Amino acid sequence: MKKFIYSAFFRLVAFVICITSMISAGVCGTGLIMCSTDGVGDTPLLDKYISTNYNAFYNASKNLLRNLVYHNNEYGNADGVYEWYGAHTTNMRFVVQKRKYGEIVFDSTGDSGKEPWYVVYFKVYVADNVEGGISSQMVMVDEYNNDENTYGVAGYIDTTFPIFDEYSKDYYFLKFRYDISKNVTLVAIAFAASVIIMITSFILLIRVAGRTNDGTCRAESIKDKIPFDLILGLSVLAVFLMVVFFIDGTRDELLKLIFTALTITTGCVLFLGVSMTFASRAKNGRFLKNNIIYIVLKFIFEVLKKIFSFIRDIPFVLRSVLVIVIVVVVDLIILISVSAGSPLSEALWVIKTLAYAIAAIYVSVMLYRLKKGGEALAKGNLEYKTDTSLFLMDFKQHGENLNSIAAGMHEAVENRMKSERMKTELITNVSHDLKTPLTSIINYSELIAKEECENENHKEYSDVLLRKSKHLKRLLEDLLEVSKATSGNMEVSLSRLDAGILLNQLSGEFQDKVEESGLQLVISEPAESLYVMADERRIWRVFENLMNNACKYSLKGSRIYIVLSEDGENVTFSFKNTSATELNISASELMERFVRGDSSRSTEGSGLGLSIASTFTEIQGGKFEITVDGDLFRVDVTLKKA
Amino acid sequence: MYNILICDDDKDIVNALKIYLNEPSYTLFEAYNGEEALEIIKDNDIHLALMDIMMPVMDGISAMVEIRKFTNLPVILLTAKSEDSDKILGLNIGADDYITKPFNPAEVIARVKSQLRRYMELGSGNVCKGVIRIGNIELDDDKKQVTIDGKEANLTPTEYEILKLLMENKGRVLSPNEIYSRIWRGNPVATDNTIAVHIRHIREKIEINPAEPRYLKAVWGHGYVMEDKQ
Repeated sequence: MKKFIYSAFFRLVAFVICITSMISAGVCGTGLIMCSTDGVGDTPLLDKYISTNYNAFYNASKNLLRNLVYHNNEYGNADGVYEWYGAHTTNMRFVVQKRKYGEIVFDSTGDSGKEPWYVVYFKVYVADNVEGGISSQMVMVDEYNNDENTYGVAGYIDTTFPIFDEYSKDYYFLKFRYDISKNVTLVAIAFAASVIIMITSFILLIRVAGRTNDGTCRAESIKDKIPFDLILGLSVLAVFLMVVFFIDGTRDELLKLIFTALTITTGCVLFLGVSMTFASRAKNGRFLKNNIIYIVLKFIFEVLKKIFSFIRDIPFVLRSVLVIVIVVVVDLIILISVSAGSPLSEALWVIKTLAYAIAAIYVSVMLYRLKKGGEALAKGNLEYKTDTSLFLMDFKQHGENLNSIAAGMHEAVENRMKSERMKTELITNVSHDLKTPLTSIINYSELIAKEECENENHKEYSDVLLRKSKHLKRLLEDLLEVSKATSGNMEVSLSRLDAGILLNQLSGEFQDKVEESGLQLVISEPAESLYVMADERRIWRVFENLMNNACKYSLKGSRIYIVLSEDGENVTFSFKNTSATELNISASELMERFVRGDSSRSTEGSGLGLSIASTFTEIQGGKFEITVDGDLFRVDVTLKKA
Repeated sequence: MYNILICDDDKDIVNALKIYLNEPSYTLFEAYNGEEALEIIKDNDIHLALMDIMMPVMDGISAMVEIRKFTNLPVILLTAKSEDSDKILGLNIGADDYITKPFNPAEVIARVKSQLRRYMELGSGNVCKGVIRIGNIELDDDKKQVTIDGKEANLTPTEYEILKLLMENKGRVLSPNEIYSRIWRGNPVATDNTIAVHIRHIREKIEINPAEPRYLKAVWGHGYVMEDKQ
């Protein structure tokens, strides 16, 4: 069964059935409507027919009479009138008599002797008109009077209908109505059956549309390839043309009837066909694309796209020129329209101004957003994203460039931070692990050193052990600090410090040490107080290291100078001392980690002293400079003035 | 007789500490992780605990939290973690002192003694008139005497005056000039470092580890302050 409904045979049969049932439903439906709106009642068919045609008769007789009057005067005879009102032209029969018992001027009854259905009387007024013809006026009167110009017209319709005309058509229609009203139930059943058959077959046809004959796959017939709106348009046009040319253009009532039937049938066939191809297209999802309107719109869109991309490809400056040219042309058009006094000029001007204003606001909003994005980037806010969703062309490109710069930089910074953090974490962990065994080394070497022993060497060796293990401890601590500082994992809290108090405290802390080393500390500072921005603990560490170095490596009996000076924005602490040994090394080499002022000298200290001092100065935003001039060793620590 | 618990996962460190703390008045207990330490503290009348932080089974911080739930015995944390944040965490959860590894044995002994004295001998509070107490430092203005954990510190009269001024202004940073003018009632010469030198001497007399002062702190670039925060 399922397969059967997809077969070509079924389709054909269903198509014919559908059309037939449509027509039959239309006919039955019309008949039912007619019965319900204008019931026939008990009046016999002929009486009804006679009464409905009275008006037709009246009008026809009036026209006939006019023709007769016209032709029977000096202009001709009644022969021509027979052409139009004779038995071979119309089923209406007329007898026209002038005056009572007067002359019979027209007779198309052919002496049938039939009783006339209608009788009307007219009084005819004739007057010569200016053009030389005559004009006539017909006034209906009740009966003959003795006037010369009174005519009586009697007539009936020949119900044998030798020809087909509107009277016969009306008769058949009326008869059809009578037939229906006699069998209303039957017609209603026929109507219902027709409608059901129509809907069923229609649904089935829609279902099988767009499927192959075995119903498995989609299929498109040739008619599905034609643009849908073309098919629809042509169908409507065909029906319209049929109505205009065939139905309205035909006088022959029989032909008209045939054409009407033909038109209705064609309309039904076209409607069904269009419905089926619509269903097929809808099922195959190609309804939208296969439309002339769609194709045309798409073509226009493509053209616009090409124009747009062409505009995009020309350089920015030229594009600006293009915009200016357009603006000028628009202004010119408006100027011309104003000078021509066109009523549209005001409207044009308003539209133009609005368009300019909108464009200007749009461009400035885009520029503002770009500026904000650029500022955020400049300030280092790498997470800021410029919203380019509503941007166009170059602005969009620019915004996207900004965003990708931010993203790239953000990623680079993140990676760097991550690797630095991991580095510090590693160093911290390693140094923790080193500290535990070191604790035991220090403790036990100390215990050994305390131990009483006769062997002299024992004491000496254990002292070395103790000294070196303590040295190792310092090294470890310094290493940890310097790695933390260089990887940016050291917290720095800058505050306003009194440089004078700082130096005072420094000299106090180191007074004994300086004296023990056989040196002298000379501090020179300006009279007024100077303040610097520094981290209190870190700057102390810097100065402590510098002082320790100075005490360690200075020539006995020499002086250590600390000079405090300022220049506008900065405050400089200059530490100067004379080296005890020749400084056979450059300042830059001195800065390198693990290189000591004099590599040949004692192994005391971690060698990280200068490195820590330099790094700590830098993380406070300061500058650390070493100058070597002969034996003069000088360090300048420059900090921001507060 | 004091019962002291030494807790460290490194057996050598425990042994070294046992040697250093080998005194007739101390009974030493040893543990190698936090859980063992807890057991011993629960089972014995421990008067002081020296405890490492990074240990297996239960670390020192967790053990510290547990200990504080039932006793207020002095606990000195002894650890390789030397970051400021580690010290603050340790002290905040209830430790009484904090020594970083590698430590100086003498400092450990001094701190143990100091904590024991505070906990066992010196009552807290009972401040007499004329006596200022900050931590283990007691300044008796009547006797013009300063004692550290009950032991007299030999301060010179100037050092005494400076310390008294700082203790009276506990928590306030005093600049060298301010101290000078309040002691000698006059202004110092610009390069006079007298106060700084005195402060260093005082620190050596009252602090266990003068390199890492607990009470008399220098605020570099500002002045000096007495603090009771450890």
